[in-house]
Amino acid sequence: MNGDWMEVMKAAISEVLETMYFAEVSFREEKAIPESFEGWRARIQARRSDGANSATLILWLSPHFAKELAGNLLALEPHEISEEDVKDAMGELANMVGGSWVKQLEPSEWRLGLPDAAPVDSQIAGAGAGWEMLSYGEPVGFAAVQVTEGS
Amino acid sequence: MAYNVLIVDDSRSMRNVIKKVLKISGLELGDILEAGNGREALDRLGEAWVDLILSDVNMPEMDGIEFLRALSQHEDFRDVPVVLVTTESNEKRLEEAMALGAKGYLRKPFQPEDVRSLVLETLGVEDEWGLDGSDEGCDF
Repeated sequence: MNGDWMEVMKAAISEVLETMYFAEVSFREEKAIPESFEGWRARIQARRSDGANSATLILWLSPHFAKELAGNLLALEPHEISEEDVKDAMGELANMVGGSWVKQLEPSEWRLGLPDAAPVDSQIAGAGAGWEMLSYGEPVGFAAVQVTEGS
Repeated sequence: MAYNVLIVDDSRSMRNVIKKVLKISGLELGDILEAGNGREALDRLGEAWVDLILSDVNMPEMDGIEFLRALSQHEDFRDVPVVLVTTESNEKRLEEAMALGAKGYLRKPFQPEDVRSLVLETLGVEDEWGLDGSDEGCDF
């Protein structure tokens, strides 16, 4: 199933964005996430109940796109959206993508943790690679799955 | 009759979304109360009469399953209907929730009409819009 994890995540991202955030994205290519990336990072960990491994789903979103998504979810105008709104909307995005991801894999074998979201406003080292996401042809962020083998 | 509804979710965004869905549902609403986890929800229940609880499962401090268990042991609150609105897809967890008294569940992401239908059905309220389950005419 490992080879399909990212494809399942792409489908989960698309489903959640289209249903709850009224946004569409496409995925261009897998590439290194730039250390100079500025924006928001939202993530959630899914752990196999047998402890075999865990997977962390990470979304890196540009400030503009994150704010647009928060506005769409909350039906607010851009000037009405606070940083706390964006943080909460990004956390819920990770939560729903994680839930949709697990549902499409093997729901009985995975447990989701709690999501977290935070702004990324300084250089990040070792972020690894992610699938670049585009909205209306413009880059809006990255999506990645990091798998950790259990004991 | 106006229904008081308690929304339990650690995401303020999601509570707001559900609140908006309820407001366009056609249901006559009284107070809409909010809580960020099961423990807060138990406090809210002590403050006001609630006709329906919409609760997440995956929450910090006291999750939805623990909340249902606490409710089931509470003489005053155990008959308040609970509908889960959750990302949880583990069938064992959902079966456990139903065994603890949940009336139904809805998976996030959801369509507004799905919430509306389940809420009306749970409360036994006639669907005056006469919709057939499609989301026609029901949007944010």
